[in-house]
Amino acid sequence: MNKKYYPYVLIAPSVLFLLLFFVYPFLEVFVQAFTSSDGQVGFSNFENIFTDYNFLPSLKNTLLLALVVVPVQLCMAIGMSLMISKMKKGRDTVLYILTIPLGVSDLAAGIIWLAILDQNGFLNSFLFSIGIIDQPESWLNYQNPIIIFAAVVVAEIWRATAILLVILVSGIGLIPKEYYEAAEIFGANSWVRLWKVTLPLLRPSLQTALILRTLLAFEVFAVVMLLGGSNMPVLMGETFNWAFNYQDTGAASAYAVVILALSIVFTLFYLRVLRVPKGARI
Amino acid sequence: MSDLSYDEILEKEVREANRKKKMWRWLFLSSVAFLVSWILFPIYLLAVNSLSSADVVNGWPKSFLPEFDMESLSFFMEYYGVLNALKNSLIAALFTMVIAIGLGTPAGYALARFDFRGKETFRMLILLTRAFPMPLLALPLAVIFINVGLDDSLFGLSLVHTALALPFSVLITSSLFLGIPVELEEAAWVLGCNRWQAFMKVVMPLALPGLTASAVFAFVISWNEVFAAAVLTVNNQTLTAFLVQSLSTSPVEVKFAGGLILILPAILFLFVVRKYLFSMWGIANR
Amino acid sequence: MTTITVENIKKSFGDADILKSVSLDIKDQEFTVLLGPSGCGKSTLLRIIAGLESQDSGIIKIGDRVVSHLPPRERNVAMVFQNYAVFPHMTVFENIAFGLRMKKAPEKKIKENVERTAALMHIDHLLKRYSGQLSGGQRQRVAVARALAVEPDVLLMDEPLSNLDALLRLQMRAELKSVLEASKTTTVYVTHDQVEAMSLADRIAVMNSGRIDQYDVPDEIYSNPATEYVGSFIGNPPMNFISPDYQVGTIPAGATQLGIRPEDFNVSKEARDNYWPITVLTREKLGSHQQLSAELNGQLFRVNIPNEIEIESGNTLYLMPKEDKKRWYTEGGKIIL
Repeated sequence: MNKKYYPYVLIAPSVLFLLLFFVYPFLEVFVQAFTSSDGQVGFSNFENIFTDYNFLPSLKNTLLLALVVVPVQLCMAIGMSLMISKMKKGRDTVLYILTIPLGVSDLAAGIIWLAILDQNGFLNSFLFSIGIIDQPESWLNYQNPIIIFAAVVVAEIWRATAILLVILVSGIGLIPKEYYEAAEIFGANSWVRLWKVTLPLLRPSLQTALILRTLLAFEVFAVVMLLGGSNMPVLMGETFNWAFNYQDTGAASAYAVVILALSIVFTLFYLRVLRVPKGARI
Repeated sequence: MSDLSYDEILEKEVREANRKKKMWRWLFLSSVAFLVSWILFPIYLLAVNSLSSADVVNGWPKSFLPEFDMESLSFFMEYYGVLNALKNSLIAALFTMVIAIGLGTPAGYALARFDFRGKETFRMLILLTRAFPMPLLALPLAVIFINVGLDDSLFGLSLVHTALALPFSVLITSSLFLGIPVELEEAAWVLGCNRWQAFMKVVMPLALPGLTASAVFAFVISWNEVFAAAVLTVNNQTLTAFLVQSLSTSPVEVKFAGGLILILPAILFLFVVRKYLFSMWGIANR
Repeated sequence: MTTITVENIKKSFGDADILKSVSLDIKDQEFTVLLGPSGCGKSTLLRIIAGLESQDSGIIKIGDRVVSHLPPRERNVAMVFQNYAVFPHMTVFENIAFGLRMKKAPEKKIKENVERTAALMHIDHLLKRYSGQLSGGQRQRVAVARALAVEPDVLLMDEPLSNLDALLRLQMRAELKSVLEASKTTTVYVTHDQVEAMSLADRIAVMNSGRIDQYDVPDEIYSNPATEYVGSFIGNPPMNFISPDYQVGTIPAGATQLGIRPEDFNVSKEARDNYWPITVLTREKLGSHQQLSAELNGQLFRVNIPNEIEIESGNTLYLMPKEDKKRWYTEGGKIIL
């Protein structure tokens, strides 16, 4: 066989697979979203979901969640990765522990925080033992939408900061230490070094991290289901409901299209805002 | 002006500098300690719940120490459908692992060793998959799978999970092979190996630990995936699908025990491959 | 007046003593080179002077001010790094202006200084470029300009030429010398290249596993190496160290080694009184002269001889060290004056 064809033979299985299980279903989502149950092409699925009383709340909750969680996580991850980069002894252990949530699904994270925030949970037991409450308090009920939201925020921060951390730690590892030393010699204190050296040089990593994390925020649903149940609808959860509980693939696909559209908009936004000028890379 | 001599001022300055250093050190260590317990403590609490009897789990107030009672765990194991779900999760994850590595490794090798037309397009296709919420693709696939008889099958599910894991597998293996000097392979060719022999005798042994890591990664992706699993499986539920679909019906101790069972293997596996976690992301970064 | 005083600086990493009580007095406007092989502690000493690393004990003074407890930014030093550390996300102008901006210098002064130093380093046409668009040599010029622009008390340079190719290095060396002579800044320069050290330095501190063996002007270092180590590190090929068994005439008390440079022999093709008959092992023609390796009863000699002497390997040659070039060393390798 001609050597020229080697690489094509090697990538062919992956390409075929991705065409079949990524490109094709991706197009099919649109087809199904724009095909009504009687086979007509049109917006009837979208009309269905837009008029559903859960659509606007789920859109609002999803966006609001991303808006609150992602910036907090970004700041935390930057702080944590700087901390890690300054460590010598025990660095690997701490890093491993801080990245444990990478192996925890949002379902499991939801269960963990349910154990804490539940009516019979550890938070209430703790508050009881220090005398703040005298009987189990039900925090996660429909009367406390803000507490439910806060609980989801905390669980999400616990679960998904690790992915940002890993990307930023490896990004920081790519910055030669001489840049910091030069900045230090020429008079920059640690705060200035963070803003003038670390963050600008970290831009490509920040971009990747933000894109991945924001998309993951749009995909959140198991945590919310566990902590909020039906009291806090989110887009992915509604998609699941339409697909699984109402068996309406068209409407579920329409939701999927909405999520995809949001993902694309945010990806483009980050690519634009955090782009690095030509020749200004490490 | 003060009457202090230069030496006294200096001594004061040095003392001040040392005090500041100590304070920073203290602040630093306590934030490390805080963050570590912020991650570990919730997991510990889940373990406490899982290792306590149902009465205690539903009781009030709770003890922060486990009573090491296996009632919840054994109840969970005997709960209808759990064992089957556990087995299904394992099978789907193993399928995913094998397919993702089998397809991804050759592609990763091609990216690392060859320059060819369309290389950048291929790389874009790979990266593109990460700009979309992939689990959503389970929706149209559910319909397609019914038509081809893959509905409610673990194989079908693992195909979707492979779509999630394959991009990682390609990027990780390509970075792995890039890290193995091509000169080693060339030396083997000169010494009489053909391309395949050189790959098996020289590259493979060097790449094996990294390949294992990427296999583990694929396993964990499948093991943890919730949405596609819940949409695609009905009778052959995986553990995640089982837990999601029975959220409102199953007793709390089943949820907690299930959570622990879900978390443990992932944590263990990540521990085994922790060394590779960063090289993966470091390169997947670009 | 910017002198630098290094007093009993000690530093160890784990079990390894990198610096074993080093002291150094650098005069105002002096160009001092720290010279030694890799691992001798020269870079660590420079970084301790800069404040990038902290000493275990000892004191650093710049002028009359003790600075050893201060962070780098409070020492008013500038530094040129081995791989330049030109910030990739800033233009050349912003790179050179960086130090002045940190000091909150007025915009007018910043512009003035940047333009002056850029012109001095011949990079005034590159001010709008990013570092990624520059060659290695240009980056190195930016690094020097950035250091000069802040008008530091002390200029520190860590192997600044080692990443350039041979030709460029020669050119930059000459250019650096004239620029730094004009700037009259007290400079500490680290290198492992003895030619660089010889050509640039007012004084050279030769370092040997954590100590300074000799701190003197280049001529003295070459002709009167304070230790056997200095003699064998400086000079190419290094000084010969010969056991006194071969020696005719008076030997100073306590001397165990005779040190003699390869070019400091009287050479003859015929046997003469008091000349050593050596057997030539190899001959290398080096253009300006030829270099021999030779041997007498197991003692190895390195000899430089003029091109006119015809000699083949295997031949015998007769040598005698020139009387005024003989240096004597003790058991411990110290020179006897």
